[in-house]
Amino acid sequence: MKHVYSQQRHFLRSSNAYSVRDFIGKNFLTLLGGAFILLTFIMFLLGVLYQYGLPTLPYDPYQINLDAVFTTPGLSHWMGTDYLGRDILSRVIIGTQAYTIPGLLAVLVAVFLGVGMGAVWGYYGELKPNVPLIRSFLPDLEVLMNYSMNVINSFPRFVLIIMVCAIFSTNIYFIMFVVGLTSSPDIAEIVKNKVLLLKEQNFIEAAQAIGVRPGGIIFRHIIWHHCKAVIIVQTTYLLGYVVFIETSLSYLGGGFGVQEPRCSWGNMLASGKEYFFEGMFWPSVFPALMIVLTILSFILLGDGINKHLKLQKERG
Amino acid sequence: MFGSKLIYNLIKKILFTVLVLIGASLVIFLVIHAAPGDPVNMLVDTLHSTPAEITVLRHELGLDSPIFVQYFRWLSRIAVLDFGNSIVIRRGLPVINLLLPALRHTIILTFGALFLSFFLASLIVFLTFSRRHTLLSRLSLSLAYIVSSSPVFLLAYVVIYFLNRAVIRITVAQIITRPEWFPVPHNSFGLIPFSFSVLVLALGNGFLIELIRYLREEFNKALNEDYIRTARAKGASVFKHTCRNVLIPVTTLITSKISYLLGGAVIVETIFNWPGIGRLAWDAATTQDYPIILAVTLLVAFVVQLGSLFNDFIYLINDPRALEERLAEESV
Repeated sequence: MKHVYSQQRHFLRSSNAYSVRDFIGKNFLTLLGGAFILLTFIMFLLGVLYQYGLPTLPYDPYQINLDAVFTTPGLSHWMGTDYLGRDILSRVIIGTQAYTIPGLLAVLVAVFLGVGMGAVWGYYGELKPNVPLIRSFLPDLEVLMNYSMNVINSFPRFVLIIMVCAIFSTNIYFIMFVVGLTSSPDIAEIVKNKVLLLKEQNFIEAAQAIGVRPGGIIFRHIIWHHCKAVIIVQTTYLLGYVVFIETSLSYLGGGFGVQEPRCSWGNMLASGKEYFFEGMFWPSVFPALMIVLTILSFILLGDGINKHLKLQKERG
Repeated sequence: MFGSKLIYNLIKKILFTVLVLIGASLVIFLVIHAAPGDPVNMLVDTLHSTPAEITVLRHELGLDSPIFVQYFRWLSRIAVLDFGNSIVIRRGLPVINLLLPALRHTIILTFGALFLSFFLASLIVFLTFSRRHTLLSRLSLSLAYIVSSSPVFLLAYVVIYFLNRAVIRITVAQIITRPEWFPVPHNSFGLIPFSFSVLVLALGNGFLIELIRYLREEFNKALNEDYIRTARAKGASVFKHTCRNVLIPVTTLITSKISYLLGGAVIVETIFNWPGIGRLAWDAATTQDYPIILAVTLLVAFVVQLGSLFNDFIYLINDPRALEERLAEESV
């Protein structure tokens, strides 16, 4: 009953112009998440400008000042100072640099590998190596791809990251490459399903008939026009996961993440937590709040876009 | 009772799992092989030994044979559970002796977290559907969102802060009635780290929110079906009818997301000092104890694949048709 009522209301309203207020009311949480992510990106830009010598931060994030240890949050230091008298607001702003560029690398790797594998998997699924006599016993490409995705998926990401860190290198770009590699099966599966669904449709047949090359069909007609939004949703979730991985590694230490005196929200939290039970909350609470809000914003944004896509599909 | 085609499909699935495990072991082997540094250099005194001696040692260790021969030799050792000896943590102790007790601890922890998160998720979903648009349902859902987007290490401290005294009271009561099989880790009060880690692992890690999201979607789908309308018209319990149909896809979700829990277990066990697989992997990684890292990675892959096999058996019990359809989708 409720459903019918909302449809009627929608019909009545659709005669008017689409109001901005309505849009904000419907997508409030999504917009909130997007706004917070924009804020963190501005913080990242401020940090970059600071490294080029512009005075964009209130204090030098690495400047030790033993006269102002544990200043309470106030007008001079908005988020207070830590156990060495360093300004926490400046360090929180600089801390965005620990994950932004590496996270983009992870996304790039995941999207390129995922889209490539998914497209081949879906479009050329029935291909087989053409060997006489034993051809019917050979697996086709579909089975091979399924097999390799299963192999990648059988390692939990965090365990694989730890293994690769211990054996090769603890470089954050290397870690993020592994994150991207292990996230690619998710994207590949989505792209494959889309390709399989669209391959049989008329517009693809028409494109084939007028002589568009398979590459053009896959990348322009299928992926660019139909998979863009789904890939963006996966990317937002992946960025949330990147923040989680980076802060976890920096928090746990062991030589894997960002180390003092360079700062990440993870290691700021790790060094500040000692003082939490002594009544000084600001060295740990502000980085913690940033971590939670950032991951939450990515999740909210992803969910919001996903919901929007589903509604679009229902409307046809 | 079971059709012959079904048994054929199941055997095919088991063979596929074995092949995937072999593939995983190949990946791990190639990773070790690509590792920088020569294993011979760790064994000999590089300054005082002649090249001839090094060549002899290399031959004795089998490092001069082709790579696939080395791989099969390694695989045949793995097949009889010989993972070599630990080189740093407990020098000289066979890895398997460290691995099995740790695995037992992790299984207990993971199952505890699994049941707790399933219970919490169904509670919240039940609230959101039966008490729709009330403050309680909205509050619990938004709390679940916030809690599962906070990283595990952060949740750990929140839990310690708020539940310290309450949990200690409960666990002291539990210790008195502790069952025989329950492991007590070597650091005194075993149950406090246990309860804390179960709670944190259940709440954090994205598993809970994934479960809630999935359950809500399935409930939404089921509530719009015709048989629910019939049940409602007859005056029968809607809840019972939906639950039966929702439970099948949920079991698949749980077994397929087992790797989430195992990945989160690494962090939780490291923080709370729970002597499981994750703690072992972290210690091995920070001290570069290669044999342990490799054994743990292989074991975890094995457990994840077992989970997916178990999943198919559940399908068989619930609805044989569904398994056949899914297998037909998956292969060929």
